[in-house]
Amino acid sequence: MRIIYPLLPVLLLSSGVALLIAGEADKSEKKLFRMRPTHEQLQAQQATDRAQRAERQVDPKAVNPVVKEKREGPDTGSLIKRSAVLSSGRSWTIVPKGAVLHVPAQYEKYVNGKRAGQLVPWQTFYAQNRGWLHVHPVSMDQARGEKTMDPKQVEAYMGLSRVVVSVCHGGPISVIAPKKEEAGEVGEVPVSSPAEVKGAK
Amino acid sequence: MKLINYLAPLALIGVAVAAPSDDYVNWIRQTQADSAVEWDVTVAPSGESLSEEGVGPEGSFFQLWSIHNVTATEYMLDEQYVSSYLPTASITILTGDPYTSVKRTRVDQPYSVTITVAGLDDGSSGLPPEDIPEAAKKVAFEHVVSNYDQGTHAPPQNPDAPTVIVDSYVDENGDTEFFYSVSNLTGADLTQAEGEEFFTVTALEDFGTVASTLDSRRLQIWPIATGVMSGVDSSVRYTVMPTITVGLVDLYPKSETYVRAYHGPPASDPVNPFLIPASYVKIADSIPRNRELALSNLDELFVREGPYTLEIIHETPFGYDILDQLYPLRVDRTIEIRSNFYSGE
Repeated sequence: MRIIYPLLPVLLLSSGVALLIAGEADKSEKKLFRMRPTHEQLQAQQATDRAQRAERQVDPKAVNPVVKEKREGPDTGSLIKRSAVLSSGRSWTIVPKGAVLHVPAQYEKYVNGKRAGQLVPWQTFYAQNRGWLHVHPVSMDQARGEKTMDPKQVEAYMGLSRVVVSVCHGGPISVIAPKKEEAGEVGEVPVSSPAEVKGAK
Repeated sequence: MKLINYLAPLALIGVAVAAPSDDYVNWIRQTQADSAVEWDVTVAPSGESLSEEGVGPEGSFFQLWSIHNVTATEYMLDEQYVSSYLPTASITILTGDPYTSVKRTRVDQPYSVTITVAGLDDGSSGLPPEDIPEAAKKVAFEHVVSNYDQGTHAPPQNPDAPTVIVDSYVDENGDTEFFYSVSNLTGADLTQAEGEEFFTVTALEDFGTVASTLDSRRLQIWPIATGVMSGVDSSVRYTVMPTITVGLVDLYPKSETYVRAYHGPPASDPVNPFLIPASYVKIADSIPRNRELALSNLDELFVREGPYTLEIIHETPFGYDILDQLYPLRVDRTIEIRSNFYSGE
């Protein structure tokens, strides 16, 4: 516990301290009668409090110095290089590496292939290419590899013959393969990782 | 976990740099620091986006990128690290009065205020201090006082601006305790000052969110009672006790008050003091009270001749105050016969 103000002024008021601790005067002890305090006495006590507050003001910078190594952030050189590129020939977009869960053989050229046309936002690209794209909603826990995906859903999208992109609240999101103890029977879920996406640029 | 509207400032930066053209597509990418999970929100050249996901146990990096839609030239416009923090705070006031409905005390009494803070970034994020958002490092603490008009026992309808006593920050988790040896109210006669002291802990503004009050407490301050005895002339020797008038003002809401008397001059430890029953006043209320008493037919109590001391005693949760002291009240029942003796022969 940090005590901002010293106890001295409180200790001076001996009866007050006892009352603060006990909550109420202990009537069993000998009664201490005192004359009603005066304005001047209270004024002097306030001045003492103020002076000690000023003296004891804690410098925020002196408290809790945090000297630790700076946390390294993600690469700041290129977002595209940190992404999987989806290209239809007329337009292209990017999604996080690891967000592409499944790439049927016939669409391999659409993933991390040659960029053609204009860059468009993900939503636009998805709207234009629903024919070969499928989005698979995942929770943040699933994206973090803390929960497995439903194997029936995985089986279903694997059979769609479409490129499957994981999304969270509409935005593409990378998915980490669940840990083995979490994965259980579905530990072999075909979740891609950045290293698994072929031809990443 | 706190969900923060952290994308707004990033999007606004995008407005400043990339707004002139639709040729750029903006991306905000969140990268969780612990899992490295990356998540995209595509944003328009202007406007705001709200992240709907948490930032992760160890926080997230947010990068705002603007990419030309033809040349694919990329610009990282901004990067911010956001940790998931949710400062919480509670205020505890300790006074000598155990009354629970409203925290209260008397203007001359000490009290303490304990602020318990949790959820501040105490270095666990691993970031150097300059990279930790201010709102994650500290909460604001304000202590102000407002006087009531004397004798009204309630806030004025048009109060003056409160007086600021403390306006500072609490920058560590745990308990921080403030001691005050007396109230901080102001007044020409502090013994009669009454009012309220307010304590507020506020989270700082951050990432487009407004400052929010984490806890706020009020302490009511009551004046010290006054008592005056009248009707006694110290120069008079009373064969019959006079009627004593007792005026009591601002008796503490939890108090017992009475007049005690004892033979002899004022003493700190008087011998055989006795209470005048008709003077006993008990208050159990929420505000101070006044009383006017007339004490008569006192001869049976003052049986011994000589000078007496009378004192008004005010018992409160804080102790025993002598509000007034009267000396001497002279009792002298000796009958003096002044006469001449004549003898005639």
